[in-house]
Amino acid sequence: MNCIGCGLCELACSFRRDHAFTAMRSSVMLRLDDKRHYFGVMIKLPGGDLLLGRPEGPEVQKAGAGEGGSAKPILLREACDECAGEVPYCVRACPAECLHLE
Amino acid sequence: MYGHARPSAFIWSDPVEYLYAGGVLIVDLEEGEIEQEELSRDLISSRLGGAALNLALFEDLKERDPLVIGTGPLTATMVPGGALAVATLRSPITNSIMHVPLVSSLGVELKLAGFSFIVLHGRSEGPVHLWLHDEIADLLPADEMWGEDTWTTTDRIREEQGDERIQVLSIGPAGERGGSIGQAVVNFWSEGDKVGLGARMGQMRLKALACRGMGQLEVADPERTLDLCITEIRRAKEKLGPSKGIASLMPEADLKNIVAVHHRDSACSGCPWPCRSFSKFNEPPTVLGEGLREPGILLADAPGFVSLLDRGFDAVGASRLMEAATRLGIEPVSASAQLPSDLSSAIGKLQELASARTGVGGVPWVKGATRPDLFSPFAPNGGEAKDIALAYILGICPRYAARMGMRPDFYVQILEAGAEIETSGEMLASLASSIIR
Repeated sequence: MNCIGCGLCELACSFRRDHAFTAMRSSVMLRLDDKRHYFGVMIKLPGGDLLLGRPEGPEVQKAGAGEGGSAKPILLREACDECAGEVPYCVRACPAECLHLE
Repeated sequence: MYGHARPSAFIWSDPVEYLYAGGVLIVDLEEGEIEQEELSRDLISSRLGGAALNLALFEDLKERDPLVIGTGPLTATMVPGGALAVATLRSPITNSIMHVPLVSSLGVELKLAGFSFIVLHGRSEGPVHLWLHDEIADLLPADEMWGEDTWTTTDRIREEQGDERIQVLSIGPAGERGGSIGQAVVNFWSEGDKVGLGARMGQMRLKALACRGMGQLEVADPERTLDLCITEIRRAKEKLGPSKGIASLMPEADLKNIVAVHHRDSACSGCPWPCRSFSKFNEPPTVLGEGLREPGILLADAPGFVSLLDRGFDAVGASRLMEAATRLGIEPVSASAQLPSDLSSAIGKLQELASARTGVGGVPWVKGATRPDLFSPFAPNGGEAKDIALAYILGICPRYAARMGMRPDFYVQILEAGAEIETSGEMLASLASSIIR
């Protein structure tokens, strides 16, 4: 995948919700193991499942599988609403073009 | 003896309403006391932030020879390259005031934890680490960490606090001994410290600074700010084109057999330019699966890696040496000149350098670095001195600034939209000039 781990998707998604810079309100999160340089993104879908964008390929993980690794895990966040019909903020902000809306 | 401070509100608003977090945290390591001073609008108006404001804070306490760590107004925003924190200190190598860039996500987490500026002074009686989170500053004992390598310390802090995204600036055994070869390491990687920040931390008995930010930065005009940021990201994407990691950063360097270890390229927080390459030398570098045991090494310090290649090691050997140096907290460019050509002997030499108070004769020479008498030579890709200075003030990575240039019109607009700061290209240029005289 093309992800470069910059996290602009997190900031953009949170910005849409709060009109402020934070990474705590996003429906998309970096999925990161920085010591092993393993990274990608995960998006909380309506219903609670997670769409994982991983180097090995995309995967949908069932709700409650315990992803996060953060002080505010993705399970506690709002689900993606695809920006209610706008071009999603995360897609607009991604400099690596690794996020698309299909 | 250990301090604990919590300023008032979680979402900061006064006296500076937008883009700045909290006030100035002052940590007296000798007394173990912490206090917070207001960050005045006057100071912001005259110095903006980053290296310029750090210098003013340094001057206020210069008789205590402080270490100042500050962020810029654009740190932790969506402005491309806006991940920079700056450490300003009297370099134990040059005995002059110098600035060290701190990247990855350290500046972002620092600011979102509620701390735009930190001034540390004095020497702690025992080893300590500073843990910054939720507008709380805890100065905690580090006796158990003292003697650990940087990787162990980062792992320990993240495990103790239960968050894998905590950013840790730490020193290893080399820095603990206070010799000027000691380098401060961000998380697991050698980065921008080539002027003895690690040694200074060791002299202060400060093992680590850790931070995690769950706050937010309010913005004056959200719609315009977002539009400016998205437009600038698009502009960057077009100008940067496809990146090849450190090969893009140092296109003229002989990277030898780097293909044998080259894994993936990555960027720091908020940066569209992935100028860092990851070297996997314990496993096939093309394997991308989760849960691999061997970490490898992020070549965030490209000049350090290239100095080891130039010393005669291949990409595998240079990667192994980068790992050893980083764990021990040794600045690799200075160390490379002292290493024997045999790999195992070279690793032994690094351990020897870390076990003594090892000094260096000068700031390591990095081809292409701009004003290495003022700025730690982290960016080997040049750049106009005024652009680099402005980047250090605003919180923009100097490598990104060197690659893209700093367009005053954009920064004037974003400061106005984001923080209601009225400035001009001439004012920004004048402020930048003031720190590079």
